[in-house]
Parts: sequence; C-alpha cells; structure tokens
Amino acid sequence: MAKIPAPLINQKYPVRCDGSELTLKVHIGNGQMSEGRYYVRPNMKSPDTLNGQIESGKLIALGKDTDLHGQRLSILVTVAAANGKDTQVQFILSGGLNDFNFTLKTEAGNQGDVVIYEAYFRFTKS
Amino acid sequence: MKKIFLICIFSGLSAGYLLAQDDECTLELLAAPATPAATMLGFSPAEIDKPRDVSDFLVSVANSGALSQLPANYAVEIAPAWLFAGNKISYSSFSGNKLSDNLWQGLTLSAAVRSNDIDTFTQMAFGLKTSLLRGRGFSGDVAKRLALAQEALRDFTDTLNYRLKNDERYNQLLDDGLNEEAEAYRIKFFNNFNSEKTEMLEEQLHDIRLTRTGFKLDLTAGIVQDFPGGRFEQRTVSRAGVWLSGGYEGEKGISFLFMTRYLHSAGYQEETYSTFDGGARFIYAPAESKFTASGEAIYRKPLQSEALPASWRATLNVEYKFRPAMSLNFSWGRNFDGIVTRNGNVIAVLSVFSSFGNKRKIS
Repeated sequence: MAKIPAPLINQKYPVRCDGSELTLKVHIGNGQMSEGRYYVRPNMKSPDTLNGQIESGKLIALGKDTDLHGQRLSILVTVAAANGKDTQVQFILSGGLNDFNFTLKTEAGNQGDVVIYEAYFRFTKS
Repeated sequence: MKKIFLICIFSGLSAGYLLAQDDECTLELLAAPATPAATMLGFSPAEIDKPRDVSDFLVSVANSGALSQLPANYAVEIAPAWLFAGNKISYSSFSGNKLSDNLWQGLTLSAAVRSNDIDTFTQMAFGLKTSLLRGRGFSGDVAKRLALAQEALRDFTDTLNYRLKNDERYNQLLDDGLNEEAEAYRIKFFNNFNSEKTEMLEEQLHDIRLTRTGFKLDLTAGIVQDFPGGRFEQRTVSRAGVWLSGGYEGEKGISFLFMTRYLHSAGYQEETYSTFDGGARFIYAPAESKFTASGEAIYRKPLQSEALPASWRATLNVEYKFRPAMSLNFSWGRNFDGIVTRNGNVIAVLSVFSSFGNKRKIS
C-alpha cells in the first residue's frame, strides 16, 4: 500500500480580531473512505486548545478569532482509494479577513493506496 | 468530411483504449452501450438494462457489422454529479440508499448516433436516467471488508496524526513557512511511516469491488430524432419513451430484472401509435468470470392502433470481457417484428469502450 502525499497547504490566515466566529468545513469527495482530524495549538509544545474528528461536509465551529489569533490550525485527512483512484478534498475556512476555499485533487497509484492531505493555517492579525 | 470525422473519433477511442489497457478499471461501469440513448436506437446488447453505478463520462462505440468497417453507432453518457460535483459526494452518501442521493448520484444524460451510409439515414437519441433504489447496500463480504478497512484507516490516521503532531523538526519547518523543505521532509516521513494496521488496510482494499445487492430500481426516458437524407432541416421526432427497470441482485452474481415501458412512435403517413412493453431478464454474471450470460423476454402491446398486432421479443445474450473496457457480445433470438436476428455475423456486437473520469470497481 502506497502512501501518496497530496500537495501541502501551509499558510497564514489573517483574522480581524473583532470576535468573529471562525468555521471549518471539509468535503471529502468521490465517495471515498476517509478519516480526518484537526487540532489547534499555540505552538508544538502546548496542549491542544481544540481538537476533533472531521466528518465530510459537517461544519466545525473553531471559536472566536480573538481567542484563536496566534494559534495554528492543523488538519489531517487520509483518503483510502476504495472507489476508484481519484480523490479530492475541499477545505473551506471562513470568518477571517477572506474565506479560504480550495480543492485539492490527487490520484492514487492503485486502488487501496492512501492519499494524505494536510493543511495548516496560522491565524495572524490582519 | 463525415468519414474523416468518424476516422478521427475512432482513432482517438482506439488510442485511448490502447493507453488504458493496463488500467485496472473493470467493465461494470463501462458495460454497455446500455445507455438509454443507445437503447432507444436499438443497438444496446439488451433492452432491459441492469441498474448500475455510473461512470463520470462514458463513450461507447458499437460495431455490429464487419470489423474492418468504421462503426456506425456511437453513444456518449455523462453523470453530472460525478463529473461536476464529485467533491460533494461523501462516502456515507455514496454507500447509502437515500432517495435524494440515489437520484442525483445516479443521474446520467446520454446521446447516441446511428447512421447508415447507404441511404444516408441518421438517427440521434437523447436519454436521461436516474436511480430510485440502488440496493440495500454492499454485499455481505464487501461490507465486512470495508468495515475492517475503515477500522485500519482510523488507526493509521490516529497514529500518523500523533507522530506528525510531535515531530519537532517538521513543525518548525511549518511554523517558519519553509514549505519546500516541509514538503520534502514529509515525503521521507511518509515513506518510513507505518501503523500497526497498515497491512490490514492493504489486504481489505486490494482488488475490492463495491458490489451492491438488494432491490434496485431505475427510471429512464428517451427521445429519438430522425434525419432522413442526412439533412438537419428534415428532422422529425420518431420515438419517445419512458420506462422503469429494476430487480433483485443477489450475492452470487445472479440477477432477476423486470422492465415496464411506454413508447410513443411515429409510423408511416403521419400515423402515430403507442405501445406498452413488459419484460423480464435473467443474468448470470459470476464475480470472477469474464463471461456473462443473460436471457430476456419482452411482450409488446399496442395501446391505440388496432391494426398493429401484439408482439414479443426474446433474446439470449452472451458477453465475454476479453480486455478491460472491451467485450464481445453475441445476441440471438426473436425480435418484435418476428425476424430471427443475429445482429451481424457470429460475433454480433463488438464494442470498443473508452472512459474518461474515475474508474470505479463497483457494480
């Protein structure tokens, strides 16, 4: 079984720091089997301030931007290519200065391979 | 000009086929040309189509005559949900049997062309099909394997999440925004990463075919336009119909299907007539075999015209899948008009299929 890395998303996500609610939605498409995790931390050695599992299409309330500012959101989605070889994941992050809405598509080499999607967003003050 | 166009299409499809020979796709999604449009034009191997999951995009070519000739029958089918909104099809909605998911994910639009160079008569058909019911779920063995695979993937993800979370070097690269270095680091990281259940995941998903069992039901509609003399301005609608087909698909590759169809046709001298068809089909398609055998019988009853007698059609079909996306079909039987047919020579239909989009092992 090959582990196929999808392109990495690692970027800043400017927030207004006015108490806006930040939300995350992840769509895992093509009818593929998947698992997803997310967590928020100020830095690597800190405990998680928030974590949980990702369900395709389900909105996750991350909290107010005033609380999240200076922290990093980490998202890991693994997609097992059971239904053909095409996989795609759409990341929608809302509530900041601009919405982030991006779809990554990666083809597995063979049926049964696992495609690994990772996205990291550092909440910075705009 | 038309010849050149057909040569281009056929060459393209053949090249696509040659490139796709090593592809792992199975014929379930490329089976046919059982698109509604092809059925309306009468070059589908069987009248009663097996309800099936769909391919994003399917082009099929049927050659019923001499193999050295260019095929005269073409069909194209698209599944809008998979082609344009695949990102919104989650695993739970795909594996379930909810009506709204069935309708949208099972929706296909098809078009087919049948032409005859001798009297330059061209027919074009358009079809629409959707799934009302698509079975109670995946077959017992497949469901068991998927559950084990899901468990293994959960373990894989938790372990990977923990390791990534606690990898100091990787997190430093991410925090510093050194994406190229982070990308290179993670590739090495993944190559060396394994969870306890990686082997189980591989074992369960290897060569899995997502076979649905239970009661399935499709709703289909189609319309045919004739172009006598190959002239666009002389087009007429010659046939339109709507039909329900469904049946039970068992775990051992045995299916019983039925079909009820209303057809409205234009006859000679402006006369029109409607017919009601009712029929059944039995299919034996062992999971690991390249052979599929089926038999179908359809009774046709005219609804208005008393001049037309009731008629019936019965055929036996044998299909041999000799390459991925390529099969030989042989049909023998009695058509509605009472003529014993053999759709060509000993091999009745040789179809060359090429498909773009994802190729899924489902049926």
